[in-house]
Amino acid sequence: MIHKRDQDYWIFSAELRDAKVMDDTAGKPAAITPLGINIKRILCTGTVTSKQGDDRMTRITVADPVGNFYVVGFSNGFNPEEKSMLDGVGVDDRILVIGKVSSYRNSEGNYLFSIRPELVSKIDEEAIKFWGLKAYYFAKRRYFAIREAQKSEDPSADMLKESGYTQVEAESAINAIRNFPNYDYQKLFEVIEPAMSSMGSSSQLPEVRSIILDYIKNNDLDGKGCRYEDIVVAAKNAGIDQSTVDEILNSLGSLGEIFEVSLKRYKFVDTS
Amino acid sequence: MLSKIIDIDSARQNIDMKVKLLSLNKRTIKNDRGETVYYYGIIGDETGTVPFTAWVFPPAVRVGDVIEIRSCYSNLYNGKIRIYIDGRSEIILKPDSDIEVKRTSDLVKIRDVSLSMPYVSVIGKITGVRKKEYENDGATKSVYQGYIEDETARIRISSFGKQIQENEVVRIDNARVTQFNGYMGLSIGDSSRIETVTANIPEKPRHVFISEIRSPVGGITITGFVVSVGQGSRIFTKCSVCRRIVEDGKCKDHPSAPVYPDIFGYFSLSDGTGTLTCYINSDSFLPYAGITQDQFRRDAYSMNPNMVIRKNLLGKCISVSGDLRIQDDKMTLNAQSIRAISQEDNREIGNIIEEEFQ
Repeated sequence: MIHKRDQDYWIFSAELRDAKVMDDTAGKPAAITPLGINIKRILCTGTVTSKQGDDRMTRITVADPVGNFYVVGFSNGFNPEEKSMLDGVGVDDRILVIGKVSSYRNSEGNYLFSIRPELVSKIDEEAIKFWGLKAYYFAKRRYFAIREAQKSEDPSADMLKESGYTQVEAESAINAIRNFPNYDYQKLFEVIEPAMSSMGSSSQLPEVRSIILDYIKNNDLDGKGCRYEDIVVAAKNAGIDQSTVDEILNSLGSLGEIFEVSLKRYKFVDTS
Repeated sequence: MLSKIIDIDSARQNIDMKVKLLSLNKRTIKNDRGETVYYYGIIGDETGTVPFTAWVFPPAVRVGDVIEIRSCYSNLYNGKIRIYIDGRSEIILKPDSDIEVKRTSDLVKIRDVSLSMPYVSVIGKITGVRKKEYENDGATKSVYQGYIEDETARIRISSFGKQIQENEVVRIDNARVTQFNGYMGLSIGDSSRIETVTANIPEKPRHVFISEIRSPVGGITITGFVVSVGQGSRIFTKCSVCRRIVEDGKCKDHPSAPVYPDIFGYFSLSDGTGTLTCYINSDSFLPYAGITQDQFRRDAYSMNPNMVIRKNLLGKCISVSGDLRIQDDKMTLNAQSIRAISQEDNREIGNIIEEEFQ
């Protein structure tokens, strides 16, 4: 039997987060995203914001412009290199990850997704930006295809292809309508679009980090830590969007420079 | 009653027709159930031409033969009418007949030239012209070879007898679509017309998505991440005159000519819409890797090509320009240049997004 390599899809973490698991045509469980992609393999990029592990396993968090991917490598897995690949990267590295999407259902019945890496590579800022722009372009095209399909009472992939959509876009739209009839796409793009418009902000990450760190250090007036909402407002005034704030708070927390003293309150850790 | 091609509409059953076979290709597809062979090509009559797909086809029938096809059917494929010949159809050779085929050609962009259209019209700039002479029936004749390129792609052309000029922008009507050695081409013969036209052919990279590739045209650029590197890379020795691979350090045809090392390697490039195998040689790889020709000639035989290619390419975001080629039914790209993604590329993608979604 000939197996074709599963295509790697370039999707944002926010889209993967909202995916659900269904049986595919072969009766095997497979993740399907709200934009209709049957995703088995993913190619994503981002900044490493945390890294944990032991002899058996390494787990890293990779922040894209709108959230986090969780990448886990085991030393005794099918691919013995997956752990060592993750061991070779550090917090704040910009990386590319290609891997299989793996799902886990928690006790509340929600699906959580992680990536088992096949390739991890350090990349530069332009490559990160390139991926972000392309992932946005693909997401937006699929969203437009869904909107087009929603106009018809009996939409079909052929009809969408005649309107200029590709085979994948057309099939994804039909998939999405079938599996996510009540999904709020506007909400998804309300997360993605501001992040895209401030795409350049991650290039000033070190500078932006120090702005946020200084704010937390200097504004903990009652000793209970800075409120998340106040940090977001201060950052917004400095031209930093909310997703970048989240990315930096994750990174500062994982480096031990701040800690979450109570829910959504952050405190500076004085190590001097 | 025999039907004429002009009268065939999108979906008809039980069609009988008398036609001339203009081109015939065989393709093997592999799937979970094993291998399936099918045939495709072009048939024509006095009223026009039409592509066909046949699941069975008699081996005795050759291109140029007139045949009667019984019980075939028509359907739309990619928005165009196509004839289908299956196990219920019958093909009868008509050895004493001939048909004067009416050739029609649509004006298409070069990226869309494919074997599903026997003749096409294109507008583009002529480049890389070389004149060759050949003997035919005791007479010396000329063939002009080169490329025609528009804003979408580049394609090889061979003009038999009709002169083509470097850098001239022309419209070519009724050019025959060919595929040789896996590359798409256009053949300009007696029934073709060439005329100079005024058109602006912008000189900028012709970006395509892998999922949009339909036929092996040239001069295209694909940008993506290198997701795997082949382990069969090698160093070859080549003759500096004929550029063929030589054994034992000497070319059999040019024994006194100097030889030089060349590298062969391949990798898979993903652009988010598909994955494509790209082949590289020293001309495309060394400038990207920052290795000079002198360095390469000195170190070629002591280096591990797999390691060098892997180190420089795996996981990298690159822009690859080159010519597409079909090999064993698989589309590949012969890279002519490779470069790292730049700020300029991202700006261009940003502009495309803005234009498309505003």
